[in-house]
Amino acid sequence: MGAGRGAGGAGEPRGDPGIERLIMRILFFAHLKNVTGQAELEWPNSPPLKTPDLWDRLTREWPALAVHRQATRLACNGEYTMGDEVFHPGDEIALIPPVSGG
Amino acid sequence: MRVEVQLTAEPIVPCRLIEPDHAGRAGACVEFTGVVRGEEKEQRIAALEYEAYPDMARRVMQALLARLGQRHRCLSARVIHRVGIIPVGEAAIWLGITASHRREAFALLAEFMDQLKQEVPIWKTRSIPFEAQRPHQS
Repeated sequence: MGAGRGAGGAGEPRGDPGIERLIMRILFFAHLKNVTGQAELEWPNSPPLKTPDLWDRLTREWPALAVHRQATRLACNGEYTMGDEVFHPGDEIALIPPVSGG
Repeated sequence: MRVEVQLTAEPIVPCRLIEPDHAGRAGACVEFTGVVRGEEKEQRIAALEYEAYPDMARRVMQALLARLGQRHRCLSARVIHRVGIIPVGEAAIWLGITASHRREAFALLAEFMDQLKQEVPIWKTRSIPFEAQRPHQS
């Protein structure tokens, strides 16, 4: 699947205008929800985060997430990321464990 | 190719393939229904629970069908994926494809199902054991 990013320009906040621009939302699905005990969280006033910084912050808070990192893909604003990414306030970031639909 | 994608928490009712092809171009109408089996990991089950990241799941399915439609020239594709608790024997997914010839329709269907299981953010999150569905006995 193509993994281009649609919203926003480099270095600019993306997402909805207003206060939403200041919040980075993180979504957890399937068994990752059990690991974190929640479906989503918000990081207000987060600085831009590179992919490794995001994982560092997540695994500091939930060390048990670390074992899932290898198999987990990231999506930003509904599109898969390619690996190295910079996440901005206003982005919706999803941790996508291996899928099993159908 | 005309594409329609739907996520629903309601039972999937087998439906007509998109719309009648009044132009008479369709020579093949292919349907696939993915049904919840009564066994999961060698355990008898009553139902499976599915979860989706809805907006992204719809978007990825749309993009996937559009991409596959470039390679396999079909006329239309319609997908309905159910989420929530789905009892054994009921449909988790229904896919209907029309094409001028059967070969393209079968090819698109097979590739879509393979790709769906790799790309589309939908998960089987829980098996509900058969015993859990029995009335409680005191």
